[in-house]
Amino acid sequence: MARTRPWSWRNLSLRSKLGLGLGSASILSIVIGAGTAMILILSGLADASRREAMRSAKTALNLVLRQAQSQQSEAGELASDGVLADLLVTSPAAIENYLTSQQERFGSGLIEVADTRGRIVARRLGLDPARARQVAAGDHSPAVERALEYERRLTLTQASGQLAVRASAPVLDETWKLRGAVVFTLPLDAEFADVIKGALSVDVIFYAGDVATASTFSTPDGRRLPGRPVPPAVAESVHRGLTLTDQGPVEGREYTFAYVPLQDLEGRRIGMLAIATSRDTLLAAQRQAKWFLLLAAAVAAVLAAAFAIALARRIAGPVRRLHEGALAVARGHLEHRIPVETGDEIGELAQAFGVMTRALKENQDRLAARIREMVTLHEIGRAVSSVLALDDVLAKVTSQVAGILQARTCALLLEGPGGGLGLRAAYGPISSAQALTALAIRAGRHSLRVEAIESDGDLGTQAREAGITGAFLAVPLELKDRSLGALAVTRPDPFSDGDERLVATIADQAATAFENARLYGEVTAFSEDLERKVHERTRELVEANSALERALRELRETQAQLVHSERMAGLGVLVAGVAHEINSPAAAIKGSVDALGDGVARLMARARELGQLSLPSDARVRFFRLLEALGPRFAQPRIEPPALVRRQARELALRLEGLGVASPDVPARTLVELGVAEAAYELATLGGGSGLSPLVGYLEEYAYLQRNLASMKTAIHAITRIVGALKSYSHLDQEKVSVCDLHEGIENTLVILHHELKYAISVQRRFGTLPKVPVFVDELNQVWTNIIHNAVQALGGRGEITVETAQEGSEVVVRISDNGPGISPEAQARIFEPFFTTKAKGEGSGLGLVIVKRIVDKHGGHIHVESVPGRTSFIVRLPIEGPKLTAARAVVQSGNPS
Amino acid sequence: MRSLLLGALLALSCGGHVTVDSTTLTVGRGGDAILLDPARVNDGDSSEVCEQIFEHLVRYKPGTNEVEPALATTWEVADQGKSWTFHLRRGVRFHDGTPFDADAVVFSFDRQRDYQHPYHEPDFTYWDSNYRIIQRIEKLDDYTVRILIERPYAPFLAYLAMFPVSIVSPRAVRHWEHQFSRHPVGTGPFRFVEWVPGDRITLAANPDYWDGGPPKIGHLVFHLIPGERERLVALESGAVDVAYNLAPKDLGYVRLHPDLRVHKIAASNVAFLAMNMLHPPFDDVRVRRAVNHAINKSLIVKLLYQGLAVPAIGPLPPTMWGYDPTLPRFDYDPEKARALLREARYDPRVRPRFYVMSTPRPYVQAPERVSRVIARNLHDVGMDVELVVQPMQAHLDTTAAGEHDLCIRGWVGDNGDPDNFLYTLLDRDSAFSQRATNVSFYRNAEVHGLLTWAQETSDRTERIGLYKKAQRIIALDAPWVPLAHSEVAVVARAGVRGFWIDPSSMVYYRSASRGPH
Repeated sequence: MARTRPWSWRNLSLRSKLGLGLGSASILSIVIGAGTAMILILSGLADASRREAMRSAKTALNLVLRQAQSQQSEAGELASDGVLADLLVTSPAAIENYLTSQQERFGSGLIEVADTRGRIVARRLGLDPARARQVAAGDHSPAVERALEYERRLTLTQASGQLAVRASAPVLDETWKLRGAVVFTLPLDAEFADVIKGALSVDVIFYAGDVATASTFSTPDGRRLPGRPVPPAVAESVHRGLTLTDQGPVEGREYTFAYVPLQDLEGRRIGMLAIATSRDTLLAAQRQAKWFLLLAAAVAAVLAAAFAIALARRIAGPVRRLHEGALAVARGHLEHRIPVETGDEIGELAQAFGVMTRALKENQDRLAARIREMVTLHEIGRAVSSVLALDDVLAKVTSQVAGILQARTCALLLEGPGGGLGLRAAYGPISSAQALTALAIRAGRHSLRVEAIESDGDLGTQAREAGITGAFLAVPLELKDRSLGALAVTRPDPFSDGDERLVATIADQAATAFENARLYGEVTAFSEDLERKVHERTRELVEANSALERALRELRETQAQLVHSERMAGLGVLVAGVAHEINSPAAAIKGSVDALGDGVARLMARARELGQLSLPSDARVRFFRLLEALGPRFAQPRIEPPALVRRQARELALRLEGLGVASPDVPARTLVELGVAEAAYELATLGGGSGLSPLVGYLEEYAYLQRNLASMKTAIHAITRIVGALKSYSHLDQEKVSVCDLHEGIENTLVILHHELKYAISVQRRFGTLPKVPVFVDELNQVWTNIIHNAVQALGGRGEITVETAQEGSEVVVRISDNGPGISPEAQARIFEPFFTTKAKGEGSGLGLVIVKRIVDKHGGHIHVESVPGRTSFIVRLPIEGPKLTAARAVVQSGNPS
Repeated sequence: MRSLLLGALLALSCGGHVTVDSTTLTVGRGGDAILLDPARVNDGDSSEVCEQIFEHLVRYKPGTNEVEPALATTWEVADQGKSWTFHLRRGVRFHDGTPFDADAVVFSFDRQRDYQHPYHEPDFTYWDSNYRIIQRIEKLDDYTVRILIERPYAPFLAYLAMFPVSIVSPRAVRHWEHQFSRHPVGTGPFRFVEWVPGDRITLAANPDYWDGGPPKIGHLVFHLIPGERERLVALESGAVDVAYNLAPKDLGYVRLHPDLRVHKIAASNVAFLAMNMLHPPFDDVRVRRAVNHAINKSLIVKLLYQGLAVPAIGPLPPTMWGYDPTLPRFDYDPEKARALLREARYDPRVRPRFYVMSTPRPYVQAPERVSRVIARNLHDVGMDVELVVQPMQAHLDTTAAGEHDLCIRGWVGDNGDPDNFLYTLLDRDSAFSQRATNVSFYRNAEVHGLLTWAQETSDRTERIGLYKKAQRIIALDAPWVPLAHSEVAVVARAGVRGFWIDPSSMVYYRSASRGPH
């Protein structure tokens, strides 16, 4: 380059850019690849060593726990060998000797022996007495106390900053008598750590809490180290139950540590076990891997740079030639050719460049021709759209076509109503136009261009007869592939391609104009049709309306049937309620009757005992009088806290003992349990020193019988009551008016619905004074049933129902209210409509209140609802003089409903 | 050094392969299943697998005896408790794609009920012992069935929560016929994959499970490891995630192990010492109470049950509804026992015959040793007994015939209903004939009234009241010395959560998950 440009990346030659880019990309990827490999390998090595350390830690933990287990079995063995149990009783002083003599059987730990009071009476200190004392369990320690409660126990413990395994067991003799307890304790100390190191070849550290207490490490001068302080974060995690590894130095060497928690019996973390493996080998491996990778990366980088430079040179040459060619074309040398040297993208680019220059030239020529046509077409378009009426437009088209093409004659043909083509507009002599029409019809529905019509094979004869010579052009008028007609012109000079395109375009416009005119006609016809149809529909609607009225009539009949079945369903509810009410007392009677036979048999047995007592006759009379007097008290079983019963019985027994009664405990207990403790004195005096038991025995059986009888009576009473209510509730002689006390009907209804009410619904009665009113009594009962049943359901089984009655003028008013959630104003308005229901699906068909309203209406009365959240009332008003009766119905005086 | 490097590279290249899927949960058990057709199953190892594959109309709430909806969503009882209508869950499919509906329910019941049914098998034993009360089962519509039973029977619902009435895929039964027991198809949380007899049973999560979607664990494997020591080792090494029936002496070790957890539940059973009230002197309540005071239950539970039991205070296990922790109890008090015997003028020359079985039972692992402790305890208060040790069947026959004065017996609950304990073991109806299950021959009319009433009442609260009252009367009459309810211990790795042990000692895995090792 001759000119010098300031240095920047943009200004660099393509070759330099490519060289730099390729070089740096490959070197970068080599560096990244090598780095990643290095990190992966190093961390893989570290991981493997951590995993190895953790495996060792777990194995070490297993060794500790296995050792603990063997302590436990040794403790159990010692506790149950019989000798120890004997010695504990006979000569505790000899136990220590015994333990020493059994040295071989039991490992090296501390053994303590406690007596039944939890005092240590003997111990074997093991190999290192000073350390053993440090971890001793001692008098009354938990290990001892639990063993004295027969528990065999194994735990890890921390005593005086020292971890230890502790196993304890109760000492029992062969008669299963408790004689004492043994406790085995094995400190987890340096000695124990050495054992693990011996087995696993790793260093070991024990931590009590997070303080290192013992380890296998020692200083170069042979002094034992307690271990390595643990980082607080590690300690915290391990105490939460995690297993962790970390690394650090001890005595100048690098180690990997693995920690596992140590826990006691209750799962409390009391310390840690750590193992340490040397990191020397690992570090050496890491160093070697690092050097190897660095060297390999450097060599690869040099090779990559050389390759990049060579490649850049090969690419940049052809590109420069391409650049020169482009400059030549830009200067106007469209015939400039660039040699295609290579088969790659650059070669393809050079080829495409050549194609492009050729195409450029052709397009330039075509564009000039097209511009000319566009100008012409624009003129005709403006002419066509400036006139509104169809015929004017068509005339304008023909004259314009003729004008523009300098034609003698121009004819426009359109499809007539009959389907055939006919002349619609023309320019030039009419006879020529008609001749053109005939020719165009023969030409068919295709464009036809002829240079000399008179010598044409098909049309020549006809043209000659009509005196038409020269060039002929016919173009069809088409709209959406539908043929509407044709445009035909003739002139002396032949027509060109451009002329034909022009006429075709004009024909399109003419077709559009024609179609618009046709559409306008259709719209007019359609609106007339619409008017006619509206008339028809109106007539159909009138017919449908009368069909609807018929359906409505049928619906009303169906509704009447439904009302009937709802009454049947109501009867079902009623029967179910009654059955439920009767079932429970019946079961009670069954149970009591079952028990009765046994009770009588036992009473007979007691009576025999009583006979053997040979009481004086006045005493016997007094006893039976007492029984009679106490009788009603037995009807209800007494339920007292057992502790209270026991205390009262004890007190009574003491008093009876004071009276000279032998073994008074059982009779006293019976009397207290029966709740007739105050009769004890009289019974004791009647029976004398030994006669109390038979008397009380008889009394007890008598009481059981009474209790059975009472529960039967209660049950029978319940049944009688429900049957009575049922009788008066449902006078089955329907359709009769009786003069009734409304309160009675309401009460009967409440009895029948008792099973729905009894659990958590309270009923308040605020009854005024009411005269007797003639009513259809059973139907009116349905009214109360329905309203109360609805209230129960609205309450969801819990709440309060209030029934108020009063006389107001010539009416009685019954108001039934509940404190349920209330009925929305929308629902209130519709509540007496058939099938309207606010209950969940399946709870009711929504006919209940319709029937209620009908019955009230039938009485000449009135029902309405008032509801706000928390209080919903149904108010029923009935005329005192009763329903307006037809003469046929009899008035029956109400009788006694029972 | 070189090998270490090579090892690390190998570890890198093989990082993607894991031999065990991390969502596979493996269970180590001492026994293999025998059959996997729930209607034919008669052992715990089989029924436990069935319970993962199949479901019933109702089921127990996790770890309790409370019944809750399962394949039936709601039900109604009519005709005084004789007609049970069940509305079935919609949109459930069996593992083979067959839709679950009323036809499947009727099929599952009828193949057991009807001897003429084409898929009836002669060994549907549970049906005969527990479901004879069912008279008919009818389909009302595609999702409603009605079961008619002979008489009102409140515990019936609890029976429907048991495995024999699991709903099976009719299509699979028709296809496999007798071999269905090796190709089980149900609606449960896991579907059957493979059974290698003597080795393992593999189940996979049911991807369409209706109750909260598929289980969190992808595969559930029951691995047979007969030795208890081997099971412990497999658990420690992580080869299995859960292990059953470890030796009680190893539990101390397990408790100290930070990677393992002991899960315990009081099983639905009871062991008791029954006193024959037809034989003097045990017709005297003072003697019976004296025996209660004489026995050192704490020693028996802690030493002979090796801590895997809770002392019993009455017939009902603590996990059962109706259990009353406030029952009157007779503490270990030899002095009081001696005083009561004196008061009853007990003749020490009488040597009551004390029957005991030689065979270990789920509710008492070492019956003979227990009986020797009891004999010793009784000796200490002045009652010498004559031990009669027999194999189980002979023991059952002789005690049912009432030959004994004292005997050790026990009961494993069939279902979660207190009736199954109280009526069977203590009602006078169960105290007649040669087949007495009430081996105290305790005949209290009031208790009978309360228990039969409770059978016919379906109101739970009322039944609890009745049972508490009955238990109180029984406790004071002291026909038994209730001894212990044994406990089931299952050991799992610390990361395994969400499974639960049923009082029937089966483990349920439908909401189990498995943490990292």
